[in-house]
Amino acid sequence: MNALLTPEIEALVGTTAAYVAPEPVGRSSLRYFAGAIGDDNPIYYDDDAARAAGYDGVVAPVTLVCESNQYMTGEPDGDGYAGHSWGIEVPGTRLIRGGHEYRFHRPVYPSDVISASWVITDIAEKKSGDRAMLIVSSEARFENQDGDLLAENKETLIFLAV
Amino acid sequence: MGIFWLRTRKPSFFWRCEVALTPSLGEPVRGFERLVDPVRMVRYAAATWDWHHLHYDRDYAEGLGLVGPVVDGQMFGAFLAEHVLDHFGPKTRIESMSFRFREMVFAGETVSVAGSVVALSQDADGARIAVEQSISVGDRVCVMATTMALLAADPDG
Repeated sequence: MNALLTPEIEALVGTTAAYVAPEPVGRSSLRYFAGAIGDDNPIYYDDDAARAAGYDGVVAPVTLVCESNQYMTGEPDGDGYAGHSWGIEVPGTRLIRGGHEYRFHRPVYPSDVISASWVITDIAEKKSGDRAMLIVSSEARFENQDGDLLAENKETLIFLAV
Repeated sequence: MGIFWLRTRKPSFFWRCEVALTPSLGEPVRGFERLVDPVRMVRYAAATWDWHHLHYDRDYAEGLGLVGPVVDGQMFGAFLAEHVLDHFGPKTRIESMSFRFREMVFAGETVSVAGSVVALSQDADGARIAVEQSISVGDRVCVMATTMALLAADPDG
């Protein structure tokens, strides 16, 4: 018997969410992200260094595209969060993140205007020891204004019974 | 599945191939340590438009029974990419990355990023590598990852 996987939650498989950035990525976003993580690679701020590495010019740190919140325009909720969320509430559990699978198809440049398309691909109940957990799998595709596929992100959320 | 296939190949086949960079099977990837202090966490939160209290508000985190603000897991993806690019050079193209969270990392902790080449193949595009990586705080392994990258064949050498 499934303790967590109710018919209502199971029906969320196939739910989609889409976000379109209101402006291009811009050069400062690249430098800001690289600075935040502490990556001093000049390909993120110096066109000559980026061209020497085979790019057309400065390029985004590769994982930046997978941060969906930057494409959204909402105001923060009570937790301060204004980002991508499915709004799934599972009583008696706490939410932990399982992991990510990123695929990168094309470098992201400052001129790219990015859209993110999310879909819930699977919801399953499993056991962790003697504790039930609900595993929500979703996928995002990131494209630019020309329809070029830039990257994909498969994400796993785990609702662990407490 | 791809990684399993690659592991069955003998590395000596690849050593005869000429590429601009010559990774070898089992090669350690030069690691680094990084302090994830509150300043870095706030900068990352701002850079990714993620203002959740969990990532910078100590009172909020302690209210959840945690020892401190929790580092945003996707920051580790950025560290894993940096790790591979720094070692193999800026012409390296990361094609995919898979990482799993095992333990949380908290504000003020220093993470160690380490890894090695576990698979290697050669085709017309260049050398493709798989790097198994870990991110740890002391003895606590917090993230396990596999990153696939292309080291493009360079006609200019």
